[in-house]
Amino acid sequence: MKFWWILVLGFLPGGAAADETPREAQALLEKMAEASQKVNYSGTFIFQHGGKVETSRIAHFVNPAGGVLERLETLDGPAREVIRSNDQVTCYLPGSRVVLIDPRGSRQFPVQVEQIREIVQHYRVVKGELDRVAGLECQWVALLPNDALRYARRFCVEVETGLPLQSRTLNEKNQTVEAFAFSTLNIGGSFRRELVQSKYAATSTKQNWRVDRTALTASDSGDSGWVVQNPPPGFRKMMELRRSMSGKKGTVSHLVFSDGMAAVSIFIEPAAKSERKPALRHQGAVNIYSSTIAGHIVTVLGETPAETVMRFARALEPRANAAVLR
Amino acid sequence: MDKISALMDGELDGGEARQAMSRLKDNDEARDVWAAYHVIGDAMRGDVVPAINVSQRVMATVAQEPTVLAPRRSLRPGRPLTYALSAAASISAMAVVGWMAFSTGNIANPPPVEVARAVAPAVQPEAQLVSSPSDGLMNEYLLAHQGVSPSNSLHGVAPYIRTVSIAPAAGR
Repeated sequence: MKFWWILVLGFLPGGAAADETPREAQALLEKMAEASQKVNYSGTFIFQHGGKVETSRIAHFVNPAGGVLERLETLDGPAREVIRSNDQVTCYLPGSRVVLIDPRGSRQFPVQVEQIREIVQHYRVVKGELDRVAGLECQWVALLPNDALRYARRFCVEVETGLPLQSRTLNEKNQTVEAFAFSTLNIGGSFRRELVQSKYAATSTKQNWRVDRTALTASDSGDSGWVVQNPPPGFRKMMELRRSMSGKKGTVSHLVFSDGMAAVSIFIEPAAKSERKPALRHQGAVNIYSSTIAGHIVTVLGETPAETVMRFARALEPRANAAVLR
Repeated sequence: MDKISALMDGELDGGEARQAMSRLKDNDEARDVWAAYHVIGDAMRGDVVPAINVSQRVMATVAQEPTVLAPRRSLRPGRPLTYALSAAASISAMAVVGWMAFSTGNIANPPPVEVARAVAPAVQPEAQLVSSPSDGLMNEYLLAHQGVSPSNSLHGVAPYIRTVSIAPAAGR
């Protein structure tokens, strides 16, 4: 009989860990992940990063077949517009007369139960209080990281649909590095073409704006010729491919690692003549580290602390016996 | 020196300013003082201080000065005196102390020997990389990255906000 007690005690710590992420909080995450694939909405939102605050207008429509049509337009500063049509993302930058096209941009990993499961291994999911954002009732849910390699996230999820009405990304000092909040929002309603029609598509063709395409090369399950020895804990390789990128000659190797929530991209391209000094930049919650490694320009970026992207750069090396890009 | 300080603060009128500036043009010492004042100003504002060339020039000037108020003589004649305490050198030392205090957030004065050493050019170690805001040159990378990041598909709303919020430098 004593035996059984030892067994039960042995299982207790595991049981306690599972309790830290209650099913209810996990269900909220799942609901949020599905919301944007199921719900039409239009409104204005505020995006804050660094010292900057920007307001944008958005319209988002879905159809039962899983198609998405979305238009986003900045309301302050230089005009910028993004049209997302299923897999294709087009950015119009009228100030510089440039069109950026990512033909496969939004073909993201669909959020699946496995992904949520992965998230709860590296973050504690905590259900918070009820709140009100843009006149709608929402429920706070927090993702608190288990280590210093990731940022904490807080979402206020609309009670009916699960649409995130407000979100914050916080660094290790609990400072907001990026924040997003709807100020006005209409959920539901039927498709209205005029809300997702580009303001600049016709003009850009007529005036011959420069078109930059970022495209994936033929096979996207390729060998990049590079390998990350011992990636930071919790990060797993999601993708490895060679792609063409606007403004870059030849192909660029692209590796993607993720912990289910945050992703880190590594871009590797043959270096020009001069060595590049290591540099660290940031854009909202995204940290960008660039350096020269083994005669190649390496750019590592992700919505993670700077330390995480630098660790990836340090762990990167050319794969032995591989035909490294020249 | 008072004139130089006033010039920096924009307190001189047209005629006086021209006079001070022509003095700056002709007089090496005045120029060093001008540079040292700027270094001090930068340090006070917490900017990165390009102190190296300035203090080397100040040190060279000090070495040529007839009166050296040094507690010790240099062992090797002709080399700048590390402990020379002429006005120009103490200004640059102040700047370095100021810079160190501001950059480390530590107000405690480092020992004078450390100050003298800090004048030597130092390569900034990688661990101390200072992050600067993205300048729009990383646009293509951001766009490519955002298409594959699961946090975007989880959030679902406007995965391209970061790309769109980049300054118009995108066109290069």
